[in-house]
Amino acid sequence: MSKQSLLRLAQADWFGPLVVTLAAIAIIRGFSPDFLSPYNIQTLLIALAINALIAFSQMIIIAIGQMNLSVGAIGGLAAIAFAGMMQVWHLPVALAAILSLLIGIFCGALNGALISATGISAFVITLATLAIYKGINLGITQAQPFYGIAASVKHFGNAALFGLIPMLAVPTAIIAVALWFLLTRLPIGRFILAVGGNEHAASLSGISVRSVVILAHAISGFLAACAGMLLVARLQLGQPSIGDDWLILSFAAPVIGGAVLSGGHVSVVTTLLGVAMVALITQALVVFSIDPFLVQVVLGLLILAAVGINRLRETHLIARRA
Amino acid sequence: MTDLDSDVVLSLRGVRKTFGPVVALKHMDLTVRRGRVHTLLGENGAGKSTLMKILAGVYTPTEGKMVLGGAPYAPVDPRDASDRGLAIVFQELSLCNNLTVAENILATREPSRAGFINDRRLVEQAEALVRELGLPIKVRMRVGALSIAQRQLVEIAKGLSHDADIVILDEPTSSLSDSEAEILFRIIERLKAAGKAIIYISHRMEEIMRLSDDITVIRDGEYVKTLDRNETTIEELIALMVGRRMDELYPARIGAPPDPASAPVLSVSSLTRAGEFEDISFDLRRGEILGFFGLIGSGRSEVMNAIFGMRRATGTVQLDGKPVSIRSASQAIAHGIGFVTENRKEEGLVLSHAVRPNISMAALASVSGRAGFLDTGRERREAQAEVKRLAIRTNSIETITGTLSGGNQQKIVLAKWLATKPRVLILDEPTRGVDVGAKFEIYRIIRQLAAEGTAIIMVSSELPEVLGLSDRVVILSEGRIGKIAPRSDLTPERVMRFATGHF
Repeated sequence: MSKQSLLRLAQADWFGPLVVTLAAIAIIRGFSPDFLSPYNIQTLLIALAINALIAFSQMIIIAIGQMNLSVGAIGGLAAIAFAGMMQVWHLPVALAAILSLLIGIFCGALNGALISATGISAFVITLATLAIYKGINLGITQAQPFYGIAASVKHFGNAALFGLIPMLAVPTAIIAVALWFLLTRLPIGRFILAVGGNEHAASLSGISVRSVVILAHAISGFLAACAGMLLVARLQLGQPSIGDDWLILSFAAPVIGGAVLSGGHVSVVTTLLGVAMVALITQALVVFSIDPFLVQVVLGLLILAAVGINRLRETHLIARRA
Repeated sequence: MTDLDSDVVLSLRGVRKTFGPVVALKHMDLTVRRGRVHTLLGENGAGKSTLMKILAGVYTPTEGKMVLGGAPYAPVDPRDASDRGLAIVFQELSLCNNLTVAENILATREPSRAGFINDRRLVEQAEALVRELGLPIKVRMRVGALSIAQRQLVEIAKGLSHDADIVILDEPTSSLSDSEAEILFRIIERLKAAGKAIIYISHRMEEIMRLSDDITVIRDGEYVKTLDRNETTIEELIALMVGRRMDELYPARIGAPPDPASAPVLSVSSLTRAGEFEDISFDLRRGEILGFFGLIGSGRSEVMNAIFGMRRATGTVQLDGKPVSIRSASQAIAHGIGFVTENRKEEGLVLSHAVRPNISMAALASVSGRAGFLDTGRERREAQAEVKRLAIRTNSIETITGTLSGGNQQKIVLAKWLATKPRVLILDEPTRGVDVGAKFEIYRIIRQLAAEGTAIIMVSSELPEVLGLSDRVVILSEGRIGKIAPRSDLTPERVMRFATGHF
């Protein structure tokens, strides 16, 4: 490999996060040889599979320069709908899954429609719908879990390919590739990034900002619903509290991966690495037997560090511009 | 010059600024004297902004000596610079739109008692300043409610709100109409008479020749020469600035002008939008450059927005003789209309994205109807072809647009629209904030496009530009058409008479 292509590699946005991730793996492995045992890898991959979908659900909204506080509420609603339809209505798994995904898409699209129709900030709209979706969830479940999960779903939650890769990681892998393709190879992905980068210029270039916003939110809802349903398979029950603790993570991973909160700059690869870093740090705390409650503190510090690094990069760019 | 040396207020010797490996300013000398207007002239990217920021205390020079009022000058921040008697009016607006004019002008220096702002005195002080400067602005208005030109005047008032020995004006007229610019010129004369030194930055040669006493030319981050206004010419300055001779600024038309009897491509009749423009009718032919001239507020941009579907208006628009109803930008693009908007940073580009996606942005919309994937290879090739055709100076098509100079950014906006292969191209102030070298190139591109058959509407508030390029000129006056005439029938004086409604 020539020196130039090495340099280009070093400048790629995923290079830094990848180095940090690999370093973290090496360090933890150094302290605890068990860390890369098949069992540990599986646990890590399951956490990655679900957290990645949560992060993508927020990432697609960060891409258009907005935020979605209701990712957890949508995921939770889809999760209990999935479990409830199986337990109460005895619907076939496939039908319950499709209907739950449609619920997620509808909830997301409603967010987008409200935001673009009223012009009210996404923060306020999704704060309101967060309460509404969560309220519907609690109204349906009376805060009690649904236990009547189909056996095939339970099996899916426990199975692993070649005894190593959890089945739960398969849908996530497919979705990650699809999202990468959408953002880099489909016009709609470009529209999403253009709207996030400069809404006005995008609209004057013939892009319908309204449909792009609604679509991005619909995708966000779809991804949140996927995450919720995978959690049902993982937990083997339709827990009403699914989604309650997603919010920080949903922002943390994209931001650690270098996403710009003002919009226009997100990356599937670096977001995945962001999710990996969070998972590794969580694991490390376990390995070093540190109080698990510190995870939140570490997560917060990580977000601050990531934002700080992004800011430094930005000012460097501006300085070079002058 | 020894007899003048006691008048020197600011001098720079060998000032250099680097950012890591990037050299922003190679070597700068400058001698500024009281009671004189000293113009800094250079293309975008020549280092003027860096120099400004060094003077303002935003950047610390890597090397070199600065002396202000006889003492070494090394400001640590803008506050420090202002304490040392520098007032700076930046080109980019730095106003808070949600505050009033008075609050903005006296920001950080609000008169207060026991920590509470004294609102009555605030308004009085601001009013006194605005009156002294002769600005037509009400200080209780919210800045957000003002036009861009008015905001620029507020910005100037803000810069002058504290007593300064040296006033730096960075492209202050870039968004002012001629009459508003006159207000500014009067202010400058007054400051000069009061013994202040003025450092003036502008692209407009006419204005520079009129205002300046001394002119320092910078090229590629390096000091070139300081000239006395009375001993130089526009031609000499341009040659020094771009490093090459420029025989004439406006390239000649290629081929014969379009036949006035031929069928129009675009035909607009009785276009009206209450309060903005009324009864606008004109024809545009293949290969024609139709100039649109009017003072700020004459409705030029509003008419173009309406044709492009961004504003509702009554009346009819015909393309190739068929009436069309254009209600959105995407419909306009589908009909073969392109619109290079006035404000490239806010409306033209995604500055944080690379050159390539910016060029393909409007052309993607036309293929979005199909379920097709992006042909990234073709996208790259087309972006590269436009970069070459328009001589856009960028390292690669993956360079971030925001890091390029204004002239190159403007060419990227042009490239974006050329990628849609428009039949009708509307250019709104195509050379605003662009240096002379890039201006000339943009003029050549416009000529070339017309020669290839594109019908062009060029909206401009620079009269020489309108008269230099247009085949015919539409003159707007307060939202109505004052006159449509072939270029050959017009003189600058006649155009101004129609534009102001005094004929």
